[in-house]
Amino acid sequence: MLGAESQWQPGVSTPARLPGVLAGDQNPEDEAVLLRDLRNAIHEASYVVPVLVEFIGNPAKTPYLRRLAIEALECMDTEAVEGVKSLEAIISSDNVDDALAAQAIITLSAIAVRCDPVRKVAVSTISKSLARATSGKLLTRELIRAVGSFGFEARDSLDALVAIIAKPSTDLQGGSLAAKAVAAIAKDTNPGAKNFGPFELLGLERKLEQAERILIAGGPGRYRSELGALEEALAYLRQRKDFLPTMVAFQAIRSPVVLVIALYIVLLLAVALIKRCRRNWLLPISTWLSRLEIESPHWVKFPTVRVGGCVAYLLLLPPVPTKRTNRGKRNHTQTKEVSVQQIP
Amino acid sequence: MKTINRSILLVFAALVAGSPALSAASSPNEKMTTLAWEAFLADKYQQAVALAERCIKEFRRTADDMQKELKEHGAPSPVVGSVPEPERTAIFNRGPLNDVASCYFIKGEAYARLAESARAAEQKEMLAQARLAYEAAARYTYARTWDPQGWFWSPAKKANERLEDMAPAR
Repeated sequence: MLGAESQWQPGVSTPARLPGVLAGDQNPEDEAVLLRDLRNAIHEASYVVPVLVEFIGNPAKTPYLRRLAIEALECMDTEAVEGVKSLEAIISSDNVDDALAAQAIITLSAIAVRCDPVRKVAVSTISKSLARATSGKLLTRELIRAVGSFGFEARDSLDALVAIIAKPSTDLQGGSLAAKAVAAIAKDTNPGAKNFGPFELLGLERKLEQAERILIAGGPGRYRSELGALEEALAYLRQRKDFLPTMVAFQAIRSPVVLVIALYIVLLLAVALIKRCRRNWLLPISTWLSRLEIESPHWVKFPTVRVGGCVAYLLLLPPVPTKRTNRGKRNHTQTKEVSVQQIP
Repeated sequence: MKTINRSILLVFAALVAGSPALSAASSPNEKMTTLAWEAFLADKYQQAVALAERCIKEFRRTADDMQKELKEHGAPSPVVGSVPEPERTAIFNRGPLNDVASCYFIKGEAYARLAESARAAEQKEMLAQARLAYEAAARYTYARTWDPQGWFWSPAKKANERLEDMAPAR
């Protein structure tokens, strides 16, 4: 929230002049003023994003100025996405000022929440950083908060969060933040896990059960609401697990390769069956199909035309030889016998 | 947040108690600023905020104009530390600019102190107010505060240092 103090600008350049001024070599106090003005000018200054990105990645600038540049980037509209890579670089780096990295995490999660294409990358970067044990206290808290803001999408961080809660060195605030993040993930399990396969379901259930055990060990009264969310999520997963055999079968059938092979077999069987039929059976079928084609809706017409085509093809084929051959053979044998007897 | 630098507070005390320039306290902006410092040093933070705001409200526009004019003319930034006589008088002549910047800094310090003893919910708001006040002080890059020991310091630079020590804003 910007207060009255932030809105007046004594002797400050207009946003239009800022990119040029920032790109030059300014005194740090003036640079700080300019960056705050950029942050407060928001929509007027989105064209300045490339300059900000360069500023953020410039190690010659003080960490505080780079923090201000990141804050300014956060206030830009969708153009802020351009700065995501520089934020990731800061978060992933080990030799960065904690406050600078924390600001990068805050900004990256804010951009990811409002820009869908960035979210996957942001969740992955933040989850990886959380999994690293080297993060400082301030940084770890910001990482946990960020993970919590992504909800179910950050489920890969469940193990890291559980480890943080279980660690004896974790303070009350850190533990509570981690538990809230776990609950945020659990709350979105329904419908998040709706399209999960059997292995994903079982894996998630195992992780949530582990989280539940750790929270109970930490004090059921302390984490009451978080445990409630976990119980609901687990109940949903168990309910889905009951349908696992059906689900496995369904998944196998759903597999496109299996489906194509099955269809091909059905078609072969149908052709073989029809071939064995008498020609006079095919004519009424053809008539019936023609009527169906005229009277039915579009979604019936298409397969009807195809099946009709097959029937027409079969009608045009030469007479089915199977039965005639047998009959012919018998006649031929008889004829042969007669002719043998007739020879003097 | 990092504990407030005690040496700065001692300077404030000296400023209020011993400065011949301030003991005269002729102009209203000087008087208001002195009162705000006194309230702050007496741990009356709410009162310090109120007094600082009075000065800010009264002289902010003059201070803004001064800062703007100096900036537009590309005036060199006044030095900090010990300043020779002609330049020293020039700095003292920018009274409203110096006092408004100092008052914003006092306001920031007072809110930071209030945040230390506040409950979690209020603490966030107090820190947000402190941040705004420091950011406002940091805009007056031409302002200088007189230390009665014989040197000037920059409230803008000090405010930036305080902001640097604060955790990132969410």
